[in-house]
Amino acid sequence: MKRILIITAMAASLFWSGCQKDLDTYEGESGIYFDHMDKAIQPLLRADTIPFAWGQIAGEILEGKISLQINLIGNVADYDRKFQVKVLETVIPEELKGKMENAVEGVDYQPFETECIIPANEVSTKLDITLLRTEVLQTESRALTIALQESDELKFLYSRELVDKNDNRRRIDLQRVIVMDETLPQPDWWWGDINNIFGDYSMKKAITICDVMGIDRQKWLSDDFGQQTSYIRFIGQHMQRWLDEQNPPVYEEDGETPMEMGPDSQY
Amino acid sequence: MKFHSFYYKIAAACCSVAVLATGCYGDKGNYDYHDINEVTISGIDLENVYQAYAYKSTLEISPKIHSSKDIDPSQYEYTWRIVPRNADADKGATLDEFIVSHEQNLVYPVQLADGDYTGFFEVKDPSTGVTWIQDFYLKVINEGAAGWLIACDDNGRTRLDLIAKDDKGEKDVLYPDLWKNIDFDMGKPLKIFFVGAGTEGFGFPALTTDKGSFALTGNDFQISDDTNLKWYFGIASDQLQVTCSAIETIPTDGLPDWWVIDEEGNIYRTECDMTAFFSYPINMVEGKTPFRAAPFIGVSYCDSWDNPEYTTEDEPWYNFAVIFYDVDGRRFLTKYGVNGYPSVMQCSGTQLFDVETGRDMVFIDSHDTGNNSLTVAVLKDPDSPRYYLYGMDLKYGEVEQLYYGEIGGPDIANARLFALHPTLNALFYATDNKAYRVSLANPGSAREILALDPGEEIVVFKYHKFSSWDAPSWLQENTSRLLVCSNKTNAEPDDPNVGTFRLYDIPSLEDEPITEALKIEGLGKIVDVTAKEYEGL
Repeated sequence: MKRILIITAMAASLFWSGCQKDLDTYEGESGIYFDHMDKAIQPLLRADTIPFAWGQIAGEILEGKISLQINLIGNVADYDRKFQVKVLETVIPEELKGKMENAVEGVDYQPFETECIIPANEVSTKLDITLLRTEVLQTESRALTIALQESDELKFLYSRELVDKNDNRRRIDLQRVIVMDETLPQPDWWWGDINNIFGDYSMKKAITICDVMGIDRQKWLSDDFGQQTSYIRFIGQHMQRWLDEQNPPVYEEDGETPMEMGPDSQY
Repeated sequence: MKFHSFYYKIAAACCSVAVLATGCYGDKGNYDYHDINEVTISGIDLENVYQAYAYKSTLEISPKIHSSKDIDPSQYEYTWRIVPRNADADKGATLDEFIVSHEQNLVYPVQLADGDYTGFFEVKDPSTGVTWIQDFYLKVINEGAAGWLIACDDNGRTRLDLIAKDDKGEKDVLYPDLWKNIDFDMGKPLKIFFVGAGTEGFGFPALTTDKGSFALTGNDFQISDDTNLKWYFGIASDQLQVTCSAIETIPTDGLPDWWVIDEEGNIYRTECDMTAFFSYPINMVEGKTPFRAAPFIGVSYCDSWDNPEYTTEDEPWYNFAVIFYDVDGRRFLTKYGVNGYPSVMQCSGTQLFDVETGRDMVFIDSHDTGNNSLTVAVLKDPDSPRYYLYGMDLKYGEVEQLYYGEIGGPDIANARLFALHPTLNALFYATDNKAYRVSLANPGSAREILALDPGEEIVVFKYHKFSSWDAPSWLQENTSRLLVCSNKTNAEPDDPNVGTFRLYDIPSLEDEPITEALKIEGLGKIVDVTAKEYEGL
C-alpha cells in the first residue's frame, strides 16, 4: 500500500511538472493576407472577387467606400510594420471583354495610399478605397485589382487556394478584385400583376423608379415591398405621369424604346 | 464716543420696557372654545387594490361619512380624483383633470388607460373649509372597446362619447368625453365612420373634422397628426377631409375595396387591408370629362355566393358596379373593376328613369342582405323641395332599374335625413323631430312612425352597416335597428349634455308601431355616429 502511494505521488508530480511546462509559441516569420471571414464581405466574396453593386445604392450617391481588411499571421510586434499594396492590371475573362474594363485611377476610384501599416501590437489593418460612380457603369463594369506586396518582415505565409480542373493552384487571398457595376437585380415580386402595373422589367426602369420615388433600393428588393400592392399601383401611375412630362423622353436601355409603365398605370 | 454710549443706553432701556410690557399683556384665558367637527371615512377598501376593465367596468364605491358633530353628509362637498401613478405636474398635469365625480357615492364607468392609479376621496366641510382625504389604489386593464362612437360638437372641439356594454354584457353604459384631457386640436366634427372589412384585422374608426380626417387608433382612441389619413394618400391636400367612405366587401378581385370621396369631390380607391394606399383620383368620365363627385357612394353588400344572378359560369366572381354621382353633370355614374375611370350609368331592363337626372343627390344606400343588391338613391329637385326615389339592382356587370317615383308624404318638403332599411323595401325620412316610412313600391305616400319632443332635433338618422363579422354580436344585433340621434334645442346654454341616442326596432308591416330598443341620454351635441367594430391598425 505504501508503495502504491509512493508511485502515485511520483506520477502526480510528473503530471504536475507537465502542466507547469511553458507552451511552445510560434517563433518564426510573419505574413499578411486579405481577410476572408469578415461578415460584411464574406457573403459577397467569390474567390478573390468582391462585387460592388452601385445599383443597390441611391442614384444621387456618387462615391462609395470599400474597406479591405488585411490580417497578420505570425507574431505581433511592438512596432509598426509597413508593407505595400499595388494596383495590378485585371485580367479580363474572354467572355467579359467589351463588358468589363480596368478601373482607372481618378475616374473610377480615388488615388489611395499604397503603403499600409500593421500597427504595433495589432493583428490587422484596413485599406480603405473610395470608389466613384460613373455613367458608363450602367452598361459596363469596372474592375480594380489590388495585390499585397511581400516584404522582408511580412511574407506570404498563408492563403486559401483555388484549384482548377487542371489542378492548377492559385492563392486567392493575396489579392482582391473589386468589380463594380450598376446591377440592380430584378425583385422577386416583379411578375404577374406587377407587369400590368410597371410593364416589362428592365434594370434601367427599376433604377428610374427608385430614383424618382426616392425608394431605398435595399427595401425595393425586399419581399415586403412587393406586398404593398396599393402603393405599387400609385407608383405605376405616378411614374407614367412623370415619364409623360419628360422632354426629351426617357428611353429604355436600347436607347430607342420609350420607357413606359404597364397598362394598369395608363390612367 | 460719548454720543454713541448715550444712545446705547437709551436703546437698552427701551428694550427692557418692551420686554416687561409684553409680559403685562399675558393670556387671561377667556377664549370661547368649540369642539371642531371631525370626519372619518369608511367603506373604502384600503387593504386591496381595486381592479377595473376600461370601457367595461363601472367603479362603484359608497363610502360612509361619520361626523363627530351631527352634520348631515349632504352638507359636505365631495370630490373623487383618480390620478395615474406617473402623473407629472411638470408635464402639465393638473389636479382638476383627474376629477371623475363630485357625488358622495362614486359610480364611474372607467375610461382610463392601462395602468396603476391612486384614487383620492375628498370630503370638504364648506362651513370651515376643512377637507378630509382618503386615498385608495386602482389598477386598470384596458383591452380596448367595441361600441357606438358618437362624435359631438363641443364649441368647435370634438367630444367623443362611447356607448359600450358593461362587463356582464347586460347594460349599455355611456362613457362621455373620452378626449376630455387630450392635448390635440382635432377640430370641429363633421363625420365619423369605421374602416375595415375584417381582413387581416385591418380596421379602425376615423373622424373627419374641419381640420382633416384622422384614424382613431389603439385602445384609447388616440388621435394625432400621426394618425392623419392623408398619410394613406399619394396625392392629397394637407387638409384632406374624407366626406364619404365605403367598403365594398365583395369586389371583383376578391379583396375588399375601400372607396373615399374628399372635400373637393375627388374619388379614390384602395384595397382595404394593411397595405392600403390611395393612388390618383379617378374623376374623369371615361377618362375624358372631369367631374366632381357628390359625397355618396353606392356599393353592393350582397354576399350570396350561390346566387347566379351575380356571377357568370365563365367568371364566377363578382362584378358589381360602384355608383357615383356627378355633381356637375347631375347624372349617375358607375365604375366596374379596379382600374380605369367611371362611366355614365348604363341600365338594363325597363327604363324607369333617365340617368341624367338634372337633380341633386341627397342620399344613397343599399340593402344589406345575402340575396339582393338593391341600392336606393334619393335626389332633390334643384329648384324646389321635391324629392325622388331611384331604386337600382346591382347585378353582374349591369344595373337594372327597379323603382322610381316622387316621394310624397307629410312634411316631405322639410325632409333633411333619409335611411334605407337593410332588408325591407322601406325608406324613411326625418324632418326636425319626426320620422316617416315610405314604401319603395309606392313612394307617393308616407306614414308617420316617430314624433320626438318638439324640443328635440333629429341629427343622425340611419342604419349602420357593419363591415365585418368581427364586431361583437351585441353590436351586430343592431344591424336592423334604425339609429336616431337628437339634440335638445331648448336646453340651457351651459348644458353640454344635450344629445340622445336611440335605436328602434322597425316592424315588417307598415301599420305596426315601432319600438324603442335603446335610449341613452346625456351625450354631447351629436354630429355623427359609427360603430367601433374591432381594432386593427
